[in-house]
Amino acid sequence: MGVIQRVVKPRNSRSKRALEKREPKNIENTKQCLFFVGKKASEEMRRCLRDLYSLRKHHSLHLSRKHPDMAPCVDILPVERLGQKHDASLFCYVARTKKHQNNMVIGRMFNHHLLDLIEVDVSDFRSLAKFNNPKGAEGTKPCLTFAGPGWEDDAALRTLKSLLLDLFRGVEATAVRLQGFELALQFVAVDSKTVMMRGYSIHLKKSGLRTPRIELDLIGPCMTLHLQRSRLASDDLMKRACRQPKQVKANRVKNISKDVFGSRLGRIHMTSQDLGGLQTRKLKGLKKVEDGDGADGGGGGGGGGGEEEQMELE
Amino acid sequence: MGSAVAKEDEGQKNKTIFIKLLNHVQWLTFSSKISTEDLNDRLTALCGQPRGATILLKDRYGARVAVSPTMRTNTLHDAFIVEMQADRLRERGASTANPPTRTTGIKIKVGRSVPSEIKIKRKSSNTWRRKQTRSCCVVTRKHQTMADTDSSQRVQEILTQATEELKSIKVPNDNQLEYDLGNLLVSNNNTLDETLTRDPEKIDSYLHNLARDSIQALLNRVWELPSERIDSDIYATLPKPTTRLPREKPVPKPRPPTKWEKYAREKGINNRKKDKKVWDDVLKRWVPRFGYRKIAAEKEKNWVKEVPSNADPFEDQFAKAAEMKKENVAKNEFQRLRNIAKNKKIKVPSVGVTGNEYASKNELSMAMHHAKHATASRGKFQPELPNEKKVKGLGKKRKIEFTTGSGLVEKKRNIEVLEKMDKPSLNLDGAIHKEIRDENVAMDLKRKGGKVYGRRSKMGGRHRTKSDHKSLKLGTGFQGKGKGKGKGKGKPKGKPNVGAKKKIGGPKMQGKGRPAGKGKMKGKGKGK
Repeated sequence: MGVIQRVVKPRNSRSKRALEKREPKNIENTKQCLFFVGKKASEEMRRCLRDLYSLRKHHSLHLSRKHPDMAPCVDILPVERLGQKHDASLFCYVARTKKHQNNMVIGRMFNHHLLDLIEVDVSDFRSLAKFNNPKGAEGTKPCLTFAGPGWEDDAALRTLKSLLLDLFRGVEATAVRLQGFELALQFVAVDSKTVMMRGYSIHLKKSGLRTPRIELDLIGPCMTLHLQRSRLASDDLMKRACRQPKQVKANRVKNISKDVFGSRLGRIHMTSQDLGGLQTRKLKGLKKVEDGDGADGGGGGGGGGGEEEQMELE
Repeated sequence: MGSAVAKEDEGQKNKTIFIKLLNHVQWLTFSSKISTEDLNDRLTALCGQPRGATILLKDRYGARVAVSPTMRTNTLHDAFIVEMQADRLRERGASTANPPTRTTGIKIKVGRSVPSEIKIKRKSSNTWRRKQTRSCCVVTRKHQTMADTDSSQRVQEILTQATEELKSIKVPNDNQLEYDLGNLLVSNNNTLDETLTRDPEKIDSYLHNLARDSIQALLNRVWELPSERIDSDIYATLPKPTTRLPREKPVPKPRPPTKWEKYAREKGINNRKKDKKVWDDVLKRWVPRFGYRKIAAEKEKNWVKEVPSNADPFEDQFAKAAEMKKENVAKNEFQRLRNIAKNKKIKVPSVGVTGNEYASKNELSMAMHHAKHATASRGKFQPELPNEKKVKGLGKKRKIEFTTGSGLVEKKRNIEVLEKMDKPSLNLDGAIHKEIRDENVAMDLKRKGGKVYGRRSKMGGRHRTKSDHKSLKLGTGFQGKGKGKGKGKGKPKGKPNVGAKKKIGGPKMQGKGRPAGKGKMKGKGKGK
């Protein structure tokens, strides 16, 4: 007798599909993001969370319950468990702490374990609702712009850029409808500790040319983020996380090479040819004699063929 | 109207002045006796201005010429230039930034500038003035072309300025930005203007302009991408994103080979593609290799089964075959799951049954108990944890006696049972009371009248008085045999069941996890 960890055998095709969805794949699903509130959060911060959630409406979950015992910067395990439960690898958490009234933590996970997270303090928040202009449809892929030299220089800002990109870029698209650009998000690194966020709606105006003139309209949300604590991934963990499968890489081109002179050569694989059975010009003199004189059978000029042939390509 | 050369008409004292307008020179003849207002009216009419407008005239050297009836006359070459006031210019919208050296004075309206050829034509239509007109033409043409190029230049200037302001898609310094078209991302790594970022009033507009330029640059690049038309929409094909973002889950490892696959690879056994149908010689037709049609065909073939010589003649061969098949299927499934478990590094025992996933408390304590007892001294000297409880349900549940042999044991037990019962074999008190009662009844009857029946009354049953009958009717009092609930013979009333184990049939069952409802239900009131 004993307790044995069972192999979960799905009972029906629906559960089987659900399990397959959660498995690691070559081409992954779009990351799910969890938006949840901690112990206490001011009305403004909750609205801020809601606004960010609406920017990423698809592929995100807004948990309605409060999670009073959560403190991602201190203990990440409950967050990891939540992520595993909902199959989410991004999270955005809002709370009120003694030191900071408007605390927000943005983080992501790799294989349901923490990869990196950044804690920010939000100030000067202007909600989407404050701006009365018409906003674009939910779920549109936004145009993202990062301004300021800090995004390249500072390590924490580099991580934040990667996080914000992950959070807001939406689905990885192969084609985009040219009339469908509706949302633009701007992140400006004023200095190494302060980032300003602005949201605009894009209007395409006539310009007399094929490419339209862009006009932006401030729709929000607007906020200033002050960087606080951060837990960045170690180099090797990040490397492991960024590894891409071979299948996703580009196909190799086979049988084409370049010689010394730079001309492109190709390789053709032929079946073996029976040289004796080739149809050639028949010369009487070279005909094979019955008493076994040496002369070779077949005429002149057999074809070139062999197993392989190197031919010049244009 | 007048002659080309200005002169003072003796008779009427008419004056003629030449005034240079937009493209041509006009002359105006007036009498020296008219009023200034009238002269002004005529001048404004000539220039195409409203009546109340003030016309300023300058000579070719720039000196101001007063408008009055006594003004000096001039020649064609020395024509007066009409000058509009600066504010009037501004009203009309013409820019005063670069005023032309020769003020034309009238706003250039796009489309109004008439090419010089037409003007000439108009002039030459007045044939009776041919001499003058020709010379006029000559002169005017010269004037015209100079004026024309000037104004057309200005027109062009204004047009280009307008187009640039409103509809420009050019972004300065767009080479300095970094583009990731796959993500629709543009990064501007230039330093920001500190004076503006620190100023809370100006920062919004600064950021707005910054964003607009960046997004314009990005979308310029997007519009250059190869596009295709689907239905009525144009789609641009985005390239792969260049920014490397971490994955959600690790790269999946290829499925490791199963035990059979390894063996097959070793031995060089290749998988051969099988046909869907197989030729069956017995049935003389193509039968599918699997599926319900296969089963039906098998049934057809095997309508009879031979009983092998060493087998039991009463054994059901068909059932046996079905059982074998079931076992095979189960074995196959077990091996498949074992392969999966091996891949996931889950240990599976090679012998025996795999237990439940979550063992109950009792199961775990049983396991502990067995583990303890698997020592040389049968668990006697094993240390115990402070709060460890002993397992329930160990040991024999019931001793089953032999049915054969002497019945002495059984007899003994039955007598013991009898002895244990509280009621004695002879109830003296009861008997005495009964006798007394009978006598009382008899005396009653004698007094009241009526027959005295013996113990066996004709009425049947026990002897009853009137009062007895009454109480019978009401349901109280003495109640005879057969009435009342479950008061069996000899069971004493009012004796509490001390120490009895109440067995209430239901969900709480002891022993090994048998599900509810399957255990025996023990009725109430029947003793233990």
